[in-house]
Amino acid sequence: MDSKDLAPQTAETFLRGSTKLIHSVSVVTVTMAVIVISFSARAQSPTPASKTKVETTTPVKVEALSGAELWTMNCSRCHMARNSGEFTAAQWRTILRHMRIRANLPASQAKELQKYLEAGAGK
Amino acid sequence: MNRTILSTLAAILVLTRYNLFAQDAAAPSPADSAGTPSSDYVSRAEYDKLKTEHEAMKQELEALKSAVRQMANGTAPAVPQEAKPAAEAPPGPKEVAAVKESQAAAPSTAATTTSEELTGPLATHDYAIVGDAEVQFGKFFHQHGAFMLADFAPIFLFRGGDNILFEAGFDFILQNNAPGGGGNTTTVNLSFATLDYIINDYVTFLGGNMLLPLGTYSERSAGWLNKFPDAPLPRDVLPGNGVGVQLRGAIPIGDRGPSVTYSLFVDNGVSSIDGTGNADQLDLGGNVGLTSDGRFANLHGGAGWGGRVAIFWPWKPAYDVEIGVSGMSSPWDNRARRQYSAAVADWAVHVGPYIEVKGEYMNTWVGTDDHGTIDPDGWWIQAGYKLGGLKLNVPYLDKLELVGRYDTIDDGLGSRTERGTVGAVYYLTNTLWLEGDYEWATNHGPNVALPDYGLLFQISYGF
Repeated sequence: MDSKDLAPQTAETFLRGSTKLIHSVSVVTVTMAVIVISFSARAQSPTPASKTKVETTTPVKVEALSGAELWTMNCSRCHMARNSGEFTAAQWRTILRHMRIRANLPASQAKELQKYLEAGAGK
Repeated sequence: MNRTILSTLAAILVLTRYNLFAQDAAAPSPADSAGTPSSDYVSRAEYDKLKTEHEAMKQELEALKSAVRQMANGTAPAVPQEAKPAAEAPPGPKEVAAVKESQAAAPSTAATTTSEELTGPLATHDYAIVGDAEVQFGKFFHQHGAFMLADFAPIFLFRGGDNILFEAGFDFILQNNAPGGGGNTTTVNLSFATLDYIINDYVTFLGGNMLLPLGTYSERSAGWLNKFPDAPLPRDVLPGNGVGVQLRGAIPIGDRGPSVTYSLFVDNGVSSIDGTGNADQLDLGGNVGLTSDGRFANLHGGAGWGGRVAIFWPWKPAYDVEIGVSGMSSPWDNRARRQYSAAVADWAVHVGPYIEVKGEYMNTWVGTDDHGTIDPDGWWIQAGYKLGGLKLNVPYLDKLELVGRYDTIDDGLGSRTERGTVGAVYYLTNTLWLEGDYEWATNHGPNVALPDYGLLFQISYGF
């Protein structure tokens, strides 16, 4: 089938395809919008309930993971550890953005990793 | 009583002062000792020099503190005043020589570097190039052995501020021309190219040519990540890329590392080679935008959509499990009557730094004009064990990892291929690997996908 044959066929299916396209895009867009809004709201709003909880219960201190621990936990599961001196602090900042997105790292962990790698960055 | 105490204190004071005077008188002056003062005392010149250096360091420390405060406030740090001990106390010839010697021995002292860094604000834009390169040698059943792959795969990263990143990955591959044609061809393939915008801590937007999050292999397949020189067979039933938009992110569960991750995308979807819905015309890599003749912007007018949700649960560093489910759906023939759908399950387990097991299962459903709905599927599992875990402390053995893989694919049209692979990875450095594998395959049905056996060797470098 050459492109001349495709032209009327494509025109014929365009409207049908467009309806499906609009339907698909609408569903996905609404889903994405709900996720974005819900997480944005959660990130910005304070949690008043937690205050009461802290006052009435004995706080158990859970130490957050260090940059070195996060490095082993997240990075080494896909590749061998890189020496932090291999890149400059500015380069690590760029590479960490890439890896945060590619490996779906939580923002808090990515920031801790960035501090750890920048501390030993090359000049 | 009081009188006794006062008398005692007065006696101690007098004796102490006398003792000090006596020591001062006994100590040789720098001039007397011909430049070799006693190690117990400092001369006035040495004292002044130390004092000058101390004052200079204090000034430098204050400048650093000020710069850090300004950076923390988001403003550009002022250019610090250079410490000028030389102007306050000109060094003698010997001191100048000593300073020059120490500079030559350590050209990048912390003080020098700090001064250079503090001459302006931290850059908000930057770029980096990472990636990998591979050289491969293969020998297959009934074929000549050959160096058969020279692949250079850089990834260009450009960061524009804190939230914007542009990333593009390329594959430069050299290969022989088809039989009947001389010479060779260098192919340049755009593996992916996306503009990423970090909306907030939980959501990032991607737009462009994306690696599709169907399973994990497509996003973790670079030569220095994959412990085998080739891809698992069943990846052939899934598209690797798509042009469209994506939202993705991670939600941490507590502070100890676990997280839930997600990716949702809409793209142009898959397409047909000749426009029909015949089973052998499914084109998983097509429909990336406008056709080269400029006539069609989307071959079927529909859209593909899908996503992945996964949970990553580490219980301590190097011990973790990840489980994900993903899928997509898209019309694929030009009349948009036939649908392509895929479902994928992926998992990975690490038991310490030495043991890794991971795999994927994928099933697809393809509506066709000539075979009804077919379901190409497959799965693969691989395992690796680093011999360093044996604690043998044998230099070469400790850098070796034994690997094995089983993969199988069913084309949905009566042909199935199974393959087993065993091999080893030798880590020359943390980014330079040597891989060697023996593969054997069994083909069932009319379509023979693989030769009976093969040997593959690869040098992989990640940069």
